[in-house]
Amino acid sequence: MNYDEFILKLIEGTKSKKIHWEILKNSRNSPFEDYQVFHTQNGDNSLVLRKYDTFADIYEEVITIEANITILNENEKILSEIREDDLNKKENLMRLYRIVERSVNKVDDILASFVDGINIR
Amino acid sequence: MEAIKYTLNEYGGIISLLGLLMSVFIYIRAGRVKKIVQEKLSKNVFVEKKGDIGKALKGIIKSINEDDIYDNNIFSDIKVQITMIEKFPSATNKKIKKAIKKINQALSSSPNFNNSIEDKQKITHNLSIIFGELKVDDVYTD
Repeated sequence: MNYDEFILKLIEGTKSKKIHWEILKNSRNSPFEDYQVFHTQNGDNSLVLRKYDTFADIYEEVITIEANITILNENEKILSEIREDDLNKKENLMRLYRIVERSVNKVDDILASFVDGINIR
Repeated sequence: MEAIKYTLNEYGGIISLLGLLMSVFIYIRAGRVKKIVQEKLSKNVFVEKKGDIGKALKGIIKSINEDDIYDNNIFSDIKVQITMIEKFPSATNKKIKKAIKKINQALSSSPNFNNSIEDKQKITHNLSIIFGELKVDDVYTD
């Protein structure tokens, strides 16, 4: 499958709420994770979406942030991985992470709940 | 032997002075060479990374415009990319520096997610300018 198309479909599926993501439970207090890790289940298989720091040069002075997706089977064995370098439009993976992050943290729902029923004249 | 003694007595001071001046010249020259090498290395790293920075900026612009994401998390992402670019001052041109200044002003004017629409437009506009400048191959000069 074309990875670029796959990521775009995940973006559309997440925005239209057809794909439901959750915070990966084991990642909450993990010392190895600097950012929230999300996963979505489909039958026995799952996708794990992660954001992480990378060091851009040999002196390890410059940090960039990337995202990746790992595909796991029912035994949580990694079947495959999609990294930004595997994509022609690598920016879409981080876009997906942002959409999932906002959706899982229910930021828009919380904001809406504060002003529920209030109309602007 | 007498001739050498006479020459050293007569011109020794001048020879020492010339030696000292030569040493100072070499010291300054070596410093410049070091600076040139550092700038060259910095530019090489920047040339390698500017494609990635450009794509990250494109992703941020899309997240704001197409996905309607405009919150503290995306501000952090913008700051990360700006910090990356600012690490290479010799490799960036005036347009990029000006755009960074305007983005920083917009980000600092209201640091929470309730930034005004004007600030949002200012941020995306200037991110687009940086993205465009990074796409131009002659963004730096040798």
